[in-house]
Amino acid sequence: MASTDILTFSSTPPRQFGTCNMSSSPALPSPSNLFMKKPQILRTGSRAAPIPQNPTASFTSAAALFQKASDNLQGADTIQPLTLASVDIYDIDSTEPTKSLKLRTKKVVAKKDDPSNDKVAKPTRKSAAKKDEGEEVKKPRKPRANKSGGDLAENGEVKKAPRKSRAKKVDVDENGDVLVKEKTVRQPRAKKVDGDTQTKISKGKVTKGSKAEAPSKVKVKSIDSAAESLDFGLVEAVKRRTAWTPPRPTSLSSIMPVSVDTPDTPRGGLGLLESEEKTTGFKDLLESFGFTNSDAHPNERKAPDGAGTRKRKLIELANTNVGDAAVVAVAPKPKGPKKKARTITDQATSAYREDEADLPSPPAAPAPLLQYFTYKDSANNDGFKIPAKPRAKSPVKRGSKPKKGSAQAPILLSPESALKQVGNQDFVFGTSSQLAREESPTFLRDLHEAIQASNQIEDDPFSDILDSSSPLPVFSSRGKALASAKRTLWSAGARDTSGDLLDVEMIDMVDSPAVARMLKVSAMQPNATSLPSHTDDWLDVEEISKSTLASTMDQMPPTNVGPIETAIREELLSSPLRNSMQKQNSPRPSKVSKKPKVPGPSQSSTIPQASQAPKRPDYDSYSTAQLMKEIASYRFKPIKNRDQMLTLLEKCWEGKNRVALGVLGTNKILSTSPVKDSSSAKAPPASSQNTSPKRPRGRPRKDSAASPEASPAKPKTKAKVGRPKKTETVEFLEFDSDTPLSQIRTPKKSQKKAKKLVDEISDSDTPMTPSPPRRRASQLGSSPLPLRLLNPAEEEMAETTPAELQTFLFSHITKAVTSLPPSTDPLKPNWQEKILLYDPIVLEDLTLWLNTGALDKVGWDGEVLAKEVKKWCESKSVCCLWRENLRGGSRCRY
Amino acid sequence: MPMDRPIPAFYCCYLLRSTVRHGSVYVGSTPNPVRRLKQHNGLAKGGAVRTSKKTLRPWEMTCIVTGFPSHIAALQFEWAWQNPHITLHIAPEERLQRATQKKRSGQPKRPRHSVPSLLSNLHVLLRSPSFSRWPLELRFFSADVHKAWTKWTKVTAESIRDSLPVIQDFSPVDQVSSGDESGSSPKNKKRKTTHGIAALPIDYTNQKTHVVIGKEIVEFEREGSCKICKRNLEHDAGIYTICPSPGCESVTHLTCLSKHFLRGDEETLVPIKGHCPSCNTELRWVDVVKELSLRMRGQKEVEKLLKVKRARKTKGSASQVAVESSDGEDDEDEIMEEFVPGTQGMVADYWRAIDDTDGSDAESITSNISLAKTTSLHASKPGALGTVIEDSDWDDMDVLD
Repeated sequence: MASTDILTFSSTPPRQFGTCNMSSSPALPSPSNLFMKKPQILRTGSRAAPIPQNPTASFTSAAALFQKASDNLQGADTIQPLTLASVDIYDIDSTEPTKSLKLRTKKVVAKKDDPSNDKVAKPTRKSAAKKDEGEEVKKPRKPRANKSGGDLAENGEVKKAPRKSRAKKVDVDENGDVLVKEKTVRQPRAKKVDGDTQTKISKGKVTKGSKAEAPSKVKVKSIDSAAESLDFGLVEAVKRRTAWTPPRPTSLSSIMPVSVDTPDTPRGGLGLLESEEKTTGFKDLLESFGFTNSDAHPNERKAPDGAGTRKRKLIELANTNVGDAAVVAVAPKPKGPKKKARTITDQATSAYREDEADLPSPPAAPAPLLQYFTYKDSANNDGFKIPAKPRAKSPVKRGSKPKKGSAQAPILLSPESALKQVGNQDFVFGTSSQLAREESPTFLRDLHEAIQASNQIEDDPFSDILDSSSPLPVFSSRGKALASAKRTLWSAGARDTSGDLLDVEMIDMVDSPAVARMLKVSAMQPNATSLPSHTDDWLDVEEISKSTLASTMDQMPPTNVGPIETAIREELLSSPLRNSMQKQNSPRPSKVSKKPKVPGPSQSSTIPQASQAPKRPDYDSYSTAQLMKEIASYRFKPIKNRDQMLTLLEKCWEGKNRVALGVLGTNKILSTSPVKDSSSAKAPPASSQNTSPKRPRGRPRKDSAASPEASPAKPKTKAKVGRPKKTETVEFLEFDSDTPLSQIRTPKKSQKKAKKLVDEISDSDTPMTPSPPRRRASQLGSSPLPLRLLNPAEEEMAETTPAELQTFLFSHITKAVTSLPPSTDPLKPNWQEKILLYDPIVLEDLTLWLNTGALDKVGWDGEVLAKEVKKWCESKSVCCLWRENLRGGSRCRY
Repeated sequence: MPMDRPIPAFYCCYLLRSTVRHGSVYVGSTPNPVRRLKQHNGLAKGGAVRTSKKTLRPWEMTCIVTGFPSHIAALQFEWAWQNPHITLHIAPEERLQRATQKKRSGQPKRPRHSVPSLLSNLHVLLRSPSFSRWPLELRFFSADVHKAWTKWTKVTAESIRDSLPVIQDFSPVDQVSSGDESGSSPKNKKRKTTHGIAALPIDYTNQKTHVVIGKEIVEFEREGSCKICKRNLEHDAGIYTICPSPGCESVTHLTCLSKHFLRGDEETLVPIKGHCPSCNTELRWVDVVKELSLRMRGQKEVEKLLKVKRARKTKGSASQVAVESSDGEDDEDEIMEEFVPGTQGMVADYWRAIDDTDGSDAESITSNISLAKTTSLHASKPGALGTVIEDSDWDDMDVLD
């Protein structure tokens, strides 16, 4: 509209437009005419367009019409009007064509009425409108119209017109009249019509010259005339054809000539239309009925169609490809060789589709048909494959083959062999997309094999170990039994001859000390069945778990089989001895105690490496004073209870004389179990064990298990055990700085409650064991003296009050805290400074710091628990907090 | 992980009582009692469910315990106060109230609270070793509550430490309650700013001079040597305390000063007060440390504080009053009195910038709150200082024990 627009665009008018005289709608009459005719209402009655004499009952594609028209081309007379018509289209100034246009319009309108389908009608109008739209797109047209007067004005008005035409169908008639004549050709395909396509068409036609137009016009004209008998067959044929599956290009194109042949019209026009037309004739016609590759590609199909189809295709292309004028030009060319399978189904079935390229077209006609009827292909392969194709559950093995692109030559097999072959197939189920994705042809096969192989794999990794190891006869029978018991669900309930559960993993870790004990006992017993004979129910439980433990031991991957096992055995042996000693104090059948005792030495004798154990002194015979002396020699706090002293001494002895324990199978199990025994006795060792996972706990656990029975009623004094307990915990905690301090927290309670000789015992036990060496050494070194130093007065005392102990501890903490040098980094105040700054103290951190050397510096060798630290803080009025919530979360900011 | 904020300028636990029904009480904590009270009374959003009953409103803060060195400390105290039947801070033998029933959840049921019971529990708590050395201060706004307190203290054999100030902060005119904000006249406003929770400094204004002194010293690296151990104090190589007294400029190691304050007490860790080694002024430990914490961790707060100060210079009274205030033992009270003339400017900066014609406290507070948002100069609200955890409600108290 603006003048600027005019200026800008006028500089670059495409040549095409130039030929059009800058008119985007050359076929339209002058805008003035259009506008004059605008107020036309729906034309009915006399004004209605006459029904065409040869109406198509169904959609008539433009191609069809075009074809008809082309068919009807007869000599120059037709051409002439066509040329005229073409001229009309592109010559704005001519007013003559308006009449013809009108005629055509009538025809077109009639055609329009035929479908009586809004879609068709509208598209036609739309097409009309869109053609204008297309011109609208080129806005400069409008200004150009304004600029150059009539032409541009026409354009502009043309533009306006279609807009209105949108709203009012009537108006379109005006505009559409001119364009519709072309669009009638495209009518049936008008869905996608838009203005640009029209322009393209027009352009295409322009570029093509009038020749192309001529036949179209001819067709139109012929249609208009509706008097062409020659057309009858064609039209009808075309009409019929449009209702069918679109035939292949070759066939269609052939049809055209075929049909045209009869009227003996020159083929020149047609030939002009499509260069690729084949003259195969009927064969092509029949080909259209067969399923061929070409049919799978509709685009392709349309391309080489005859004049009618060609037109359709042209329109399609023009319609769909916005602004691509060239497409129309090349449209007639066939699609060329069939493209590679693009869809998954195609991929899957490509192998079974005979390659079109291989087949010459003439034999191609019968081939598809024959495919259905021939048994050239093995019935059980292709025969059912093709129909099987669409099914999701198609044999994948075959699916992989299509990748190769060519179907293997099918061999006709006998039914039996065919069945066998079917059986050999590895069916893999999946959707076509899944199946088609297989890249490697052997992938699925390999996968299948792998799956089968895995199912076969023995999932008991210990079975081979069992076979290879366990030299001892004790376990041999059991081992074999175990080897047979696989770790499957069934084996979970497997039981051995004694009726005990074979599956080791079912062991309840809670009973681990008991289990360990049982294991010892069972180790001594060559026959597990003898154990249940003991009436002591305590033992029964032991035995059961013993047997299981034994199996566990067998199943545990013995990294060092020989020496470790023997050591374990020896260990186990020794503990029953201990057990026996403990049991002295409890009313147990002596046979129980003796029995383990008796086979113990015998068993120990069988174990070569355990021969070093000297004769254990009979502590029982010692007097109390002597016991005290002994205990002191082991650097333990004096114990009041004689029984406990005995126990302790025994354990000390054991620890002294034990071989390197190494990896104890039971220990491994136990060590991984954080579950504490129900009895409080186990809690402290458990706590210490929790904090020292590496430490073999078999022994301490056993000991702890032993001691509670022996001393269930021991008064819970903090003093005795507190100190040595702390000793142990020091070592434990020291090496477990990464252990969650919550664990430090929790066992503290039990520690306070239960005074355990256990820790002391375990302490003494450990020095001899090489692993973990760190702990032992530290324990060795640090335990003796501080105990004495701290409480020399208490050496002879039975107990120190908890309060005193606490105050003592507190003083140490205070000392530790205050003896810190002032920090050098203002951002990192030391503990004292933090306290002075009123910072809330995180208990975990402080505890950790105290335990990792601070207390040692001030001479306190025990370890503190966080709870104690909390008490200390509270006593000092220091604000403190836990990092870990009670729920287990942990604070990150304070 | 480490402390990321300085000692809060103000944090208190309060005992709220319904003016309508004296039997209904509530314990909470807040860094801004005025705002909190408004919330309780429905004048602002965020009140507690327990205090939302219309029939019990308006509420009043009868007494507060203030001076907590951290919000965590305040919350711990608050919980202990709310749950004296459970808290471990009270030894079993000292426990005054025991849970007689158990709640459905297994928790022991809380005995009903009343003012006397709360006071007695407060007394116990303040005596308990866990809190005894905290730099707390007890302030009563309600005369009758104070009376109850004194009665109780007389009854009990033990007393809280002497150095824990118990302040009476009653309104001079009306002895009953001094915490409400219903006045609307300027006179009322002025009156109210002299006492009650509104008069409480909830920002660092009291530390301003100290902060300035410290800032200067540190900026110019004039630490010198520790006044106590005589070792050289390298700049930024340690934690040094600075005497708040203007002109003293004694810088010491934190630890040295603490030892000095403790006067050889080996078992105590945290001093409460002492004398400056050089100028011999009586100092409260918390004040010294507060400034230190500001210097160490409260850069933002210091900025805000000093910014405000600069803006206040126009008023004139601010800095002078600040300078005159000393961090003496009873500096709270002294400051309060001194602040009277300059109250408009000094106390609670949130009054500032609003014209004096703005009468109603509530209005000024609300407008002040909005002002806080608009002007970045408004510095001292602890909320603005970055304290995330502010008020705590009884209902959703974390178990901090």
